[in-house]
Amino acid sequence: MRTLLSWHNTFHNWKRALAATAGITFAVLLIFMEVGFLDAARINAAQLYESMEFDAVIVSQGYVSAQRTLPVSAYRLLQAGNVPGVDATVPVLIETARWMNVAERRSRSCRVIGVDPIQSPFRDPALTAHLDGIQRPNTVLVDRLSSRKYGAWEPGARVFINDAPLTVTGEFSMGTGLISDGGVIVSRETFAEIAGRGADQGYDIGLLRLTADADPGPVIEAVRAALPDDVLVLSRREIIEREQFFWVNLKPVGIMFRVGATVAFIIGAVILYQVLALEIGNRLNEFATLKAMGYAPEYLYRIGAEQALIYSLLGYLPAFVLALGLYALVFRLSRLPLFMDPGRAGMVLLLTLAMAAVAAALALRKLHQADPAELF
Amino acid sequence: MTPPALPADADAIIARDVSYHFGSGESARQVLGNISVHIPRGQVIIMTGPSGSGKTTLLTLIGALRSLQQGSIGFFGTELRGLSLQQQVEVRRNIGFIFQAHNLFESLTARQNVHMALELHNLTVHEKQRRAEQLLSDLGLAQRLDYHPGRLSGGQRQRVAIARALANNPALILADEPTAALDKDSSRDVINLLKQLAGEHQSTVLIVTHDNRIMDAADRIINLTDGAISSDMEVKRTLYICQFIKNCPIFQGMSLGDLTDVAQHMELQYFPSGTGIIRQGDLGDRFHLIYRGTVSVSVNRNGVSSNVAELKSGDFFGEVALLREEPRNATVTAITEVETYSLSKDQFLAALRNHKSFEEQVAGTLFIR
Repeated sequence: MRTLLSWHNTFHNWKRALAATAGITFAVLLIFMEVGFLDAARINAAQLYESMEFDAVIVSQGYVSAQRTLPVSAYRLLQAGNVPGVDATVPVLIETARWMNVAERRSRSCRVIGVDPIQSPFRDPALTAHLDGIQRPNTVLVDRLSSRKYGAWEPGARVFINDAPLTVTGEFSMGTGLISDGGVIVSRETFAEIAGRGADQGYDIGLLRLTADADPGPVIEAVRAALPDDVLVLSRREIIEREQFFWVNLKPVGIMFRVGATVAFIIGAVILYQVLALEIGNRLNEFATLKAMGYAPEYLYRIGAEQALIYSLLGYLPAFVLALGLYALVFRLSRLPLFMDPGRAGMVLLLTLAMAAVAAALALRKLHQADPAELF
Repeated sequence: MTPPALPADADAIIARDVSYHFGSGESARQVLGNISVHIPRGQVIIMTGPSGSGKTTLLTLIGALRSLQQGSIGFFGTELRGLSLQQQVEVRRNIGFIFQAHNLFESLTARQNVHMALELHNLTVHEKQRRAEQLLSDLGLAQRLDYHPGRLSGGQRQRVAIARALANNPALILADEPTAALDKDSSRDVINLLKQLAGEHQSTVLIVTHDNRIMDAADRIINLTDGAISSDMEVKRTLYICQFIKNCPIFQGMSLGDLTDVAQHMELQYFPSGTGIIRQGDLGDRFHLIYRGTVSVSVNRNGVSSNVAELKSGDFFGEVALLREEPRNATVTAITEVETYSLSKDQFLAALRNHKSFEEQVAGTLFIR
């Protein structure tokens, strides 16, 4: 077996190895967090649509996101309902309102979803069953993933949204994450009470459900053709992608996390570069001696690259474990859908290796200075 | 065990007209000028000279650590001029380098540092282990195999470095001030071990040093001044001649330096029994000191030849004609097999000029005769 020079060099000064590893761990952990947030923003953006049962949607031409759109006339839903292949149309109202935390006397943002309890837009049968509870006016279902800043609520409690007094009749799980502090589901009548606009002024989203035997592509095309261009007709996939694009690419949050991940990558590369440059710089004479002994320059590059690999893996493992803990903590505190999955673990590993490659490519240039002729 | 085979008959190093300069154009500075040197296999050579004399540059050229600019160096039959970097790396595998600093990896044990050299060649794990242990034990480090350099003394570290340099039985060992960082005793140990191990493996050793304490270890001392060889002497032979000629009355009282100078320029000449070495009436061109054998001196006066003396080992002849610029005044004939150390007229007169008392000595001997 060959002498593992890179291994010995790395661990010879364990204090330095530890300090270097800590720095790299920090950078990799930062990448984990930023990439996690980015993914969370993506999942978060899709949560509303993922929770609903539909094949296509009709939204206003001025649609920006579910929370920022113009109403679609009820007439357009009727028109769409007449296109062959469309089984049903389900209207949904969305409004961002203020939830009053009575105890703290402070208000928090709240996404209000207005639905027809008889015609549930949701996929979750349990949630659909709960909709019975909001048939009475001024009753509300509260998202149990809402922020703790909402204060206490429990079934039967009285809460205030946009100053309208409401009675909690149950809970559901959806999560609003970055979009608002929390969310509620109410009937269309209660929605009018809260938002000051009713179904008569149009809906925010019109869900289309197609018949079981319909071919979605041509049917959506037919609906698009049948409706004037004051509305957009989008497939399920298109609306979800659009929503994610808005939150991840257009909103500052997504850009922030992306920049954050890039900065973390650079920090990691710089730390690793410095560690490697020091490792090489301190051993220039020894490396030059290897050259004099008859080792080809490629061997020296390999030693340096191996050290980069050792350091990056050493940094990655603790960062992975720490990220598991931090994800759980962030989820507890913010309800952001932040979980480790193999895809992300793999991607961050690749980023870490790329980081090592960049650092090594820069640091290994120092090996040119290892000139055996200068040893004399 | 051995590095790539080198031709068995080629000389170790044959350098011809090697010149080297640093920089280029106006600022070019020549460090070596037309160096030619011939190093047979197995010699232990010490190269000395003031700093800046170009000796380390010559060492790096011989070691294929720099590319030749002018001239040529034959390295065990391989021409170093114009080698690619890859070929230079190949050449270096036949060389054991020892530097002023030990340059050991602090992160590796003594054994592992030696392994680094052994791994350049295809050896089994077992062979490597055995070889490393053998070498380190030979160098007195059997109890220190698994010590890191940080826990070894300066002398021990340098010995590990030597073990590493010797690991592959290199044909040539190039050492630069190997004893500079060592105390007197360690220096002696290190140099003796180097010599002994080199002898066992028939390695050629070239040491650049200022260290007077180790000069006597060399077979040959080459002195470089301003990029040129200012002296090149075979130590053993010179020492031997010095030993011999210092008892000769003509050289008595001469300083050791001058004696060495004279000895260096002496040539051993062989004459079979009955040969005439000098003949009366000829122009004198050499001074002879009899090393071995007996000669008879005869003078021819008016056609009658008469033996006037017999000279033996330690006696000398031929000086009168050189001093007086006269023809030979006698004939000298070998009556047994004879070997003489002889000095040319120019060298003889030069030594004379440099050494007043030498002149007096000679004058004295003339008077005696």
